[in-house]
Amino acid sequence: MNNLLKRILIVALSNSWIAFPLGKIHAQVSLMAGGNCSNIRDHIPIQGKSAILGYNLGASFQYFPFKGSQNLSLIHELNFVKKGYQQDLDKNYFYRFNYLTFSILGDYAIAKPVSLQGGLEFGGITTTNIKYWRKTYNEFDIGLVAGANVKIAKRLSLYGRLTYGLLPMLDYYDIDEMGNFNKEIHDVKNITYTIGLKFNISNEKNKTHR
Amino acid sequence: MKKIRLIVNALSLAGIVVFLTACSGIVIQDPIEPRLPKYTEDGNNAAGAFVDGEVWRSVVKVEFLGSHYDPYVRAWPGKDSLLVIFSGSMAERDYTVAFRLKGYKVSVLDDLLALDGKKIELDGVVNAGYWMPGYSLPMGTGKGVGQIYFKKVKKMGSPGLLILSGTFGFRLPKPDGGSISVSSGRFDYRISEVENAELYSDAGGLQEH
Repeated sequence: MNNLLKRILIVALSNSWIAFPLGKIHAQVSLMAGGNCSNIRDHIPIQGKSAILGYNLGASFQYFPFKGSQNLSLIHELNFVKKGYQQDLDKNYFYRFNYLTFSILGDYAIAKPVSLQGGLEFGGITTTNIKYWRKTYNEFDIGLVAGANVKIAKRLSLYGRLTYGLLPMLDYYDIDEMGNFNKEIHDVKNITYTIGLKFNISNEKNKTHR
Repeated sequence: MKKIRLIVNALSLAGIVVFLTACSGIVIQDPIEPRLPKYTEDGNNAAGAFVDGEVWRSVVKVEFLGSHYDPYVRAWPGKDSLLVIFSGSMAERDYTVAFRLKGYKVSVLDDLLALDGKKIELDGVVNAGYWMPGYSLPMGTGKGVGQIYFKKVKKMGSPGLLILSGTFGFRLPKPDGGSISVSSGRFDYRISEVENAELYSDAGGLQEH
């Protein structure tokens, strides 16, 4: 857990250079919460897999570092996200992974209430429902994020996004029925669809510009 | 004084519980096939396989009055015979998977290290796999054809203790026709010279440990 927090802090601090050398920053701080539908991508294949529902809770810090373009902003987010999948065999086997994630997103307002977002998510598993999970699953993950944000009220916006995990969660073997080890596998990647609400608790941009 | 005695008793009891737990098997769920234990090389004292599609599992359980589902290695170097026995259960009934192997003259536990990395063909004649109800020894039952792969055999920290890890799969004839398929087998056991090995001398008696 300490290592995981260290790695996420390193990622967060190493990206703070984007925010601080630019002088006065117009920033918005928001709380966010939403539901997600998560599953995995695999080549092995994993029989009977299907998606499960989860949720995410967190906070975001959005700022507008480019003086010339008020449409372009950067967002840093810290979230607790429940991801995973299920396998339907003789019964349902649930694989739930609770991630602490730090995201760096670019946000481009294409029309007044709508903006498109994209970036990277760095995450680490904090807990799961699987016993001895550290002996099986990789702790750290990086995902590509793409989504959109729609402002639905003065302080409230609706967001939807897709997070496409890039790193394999599993390093294992492909073992056949006779017990031959055919190859090493580095497989099982997260994929998560999220929809949620973001509540703006501090809006410096509104105070100074509107 | 009474309090001290109570604390000492509680600590002793906790120590016994910790010791028994440490010796009992650990099942790490396979990430691809969750009905079976994952293939490991840590001496987790667990094994599993599909037998005609049903799940056979072996998890060593150590209790105050003894233990269940321990693996056994029996060797008769004079007869060049090695018997590897895994006990477990399927559908709440006890079953045993066993292997009779030739060509490995095991007279002390460390001789098993020669199996490290060996993939042994079970031809049903010289080497064979067995599937039996209860804890019976492989006598007169159908001889399985397939393979056992001792992927990792290594010493543990203390002397007289080995880790035996690998996989197996075989098919054997049923007495009334047809065949039984034992597939996707995997095992990861700690083998103690004292607890899990019966090594007979050439004369037929048990070796002194």
